[in-house]
Amino acid sequence: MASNQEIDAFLAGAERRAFKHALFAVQDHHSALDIVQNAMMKLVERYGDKPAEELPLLFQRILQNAIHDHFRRSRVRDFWVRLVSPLRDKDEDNSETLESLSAESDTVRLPGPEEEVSGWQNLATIEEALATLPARQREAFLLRYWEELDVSETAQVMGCSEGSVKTHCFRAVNALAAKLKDKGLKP
Amino acid sequence: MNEQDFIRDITRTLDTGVRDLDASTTARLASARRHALSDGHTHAGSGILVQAHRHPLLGVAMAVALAVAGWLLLNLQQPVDTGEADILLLTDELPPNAYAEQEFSKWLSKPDTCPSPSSC
Repeated sequence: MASNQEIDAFLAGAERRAFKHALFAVQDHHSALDIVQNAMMKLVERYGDKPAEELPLLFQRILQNAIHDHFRRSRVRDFWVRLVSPLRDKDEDNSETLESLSAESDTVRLPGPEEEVSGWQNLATIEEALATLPARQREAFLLRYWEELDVSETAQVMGCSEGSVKTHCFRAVNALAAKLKDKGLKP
Repeated sequence: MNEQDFIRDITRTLDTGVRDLDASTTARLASARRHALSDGHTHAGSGILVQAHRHPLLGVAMAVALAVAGWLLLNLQQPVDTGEADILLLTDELPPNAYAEQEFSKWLSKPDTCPSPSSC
């Protein structure tokens, strides 16, 4: 069983990457922080009695589930908003649509010409390219290559077959290379 | 650049992003961690019900133990009840009909109980 200090040390080492994982997925700073906090709480509450060496894989799985839950809740919320929206005033409805469209366009905004792109060190460019990948490809890429999980562990965390992991990774690498090349970064 | 180098460059760049997180975010993360550790342990605790929830066999064992304890309690309570009745009898706290011996009354009321007055 992992001691309190071991869990604390593990989370201290994992929390920043976990935040980035969540941020790449949900594209919202506060939501990403909430997701990481929920994942931490679930790890401590439900798996605090597990050995320390099992914590990384468990935490990754909890984190990915928390991200999926976030999207599930968003879909439910959007459904109710759409259901109620005909009852609202038309002007208000239009303004909200424009606001939401503006917000959506902000979240998937590609870097403008004023933003500097300078080789591989341009973190923002790479992060934006990652953020525009399909969710499963990004998840597979980050788990497999950034978290350095093997194919089997990645499949376990993602809840899919090892073959799917390989496919997602292959597509993610190709898509990233293409996106970065389009932005002037040559691999 | 081959694929492995490409991937390595990307992950290294991502690492620099993690290192350069702003102070408010890292403070929030540290606070969230502390909160999770304190709150999580408070909620989880080490109570027997929590342990039973985590280990199903322990839960079954607890249920069996409770059943045995209940059975023993019921069986051991009977002499106590009899003792209480005796005490109530001795201290005259029983109602008058408690002294009535129904069997004797029935026997008296039977006409053929005494065939002749001399034999009774």
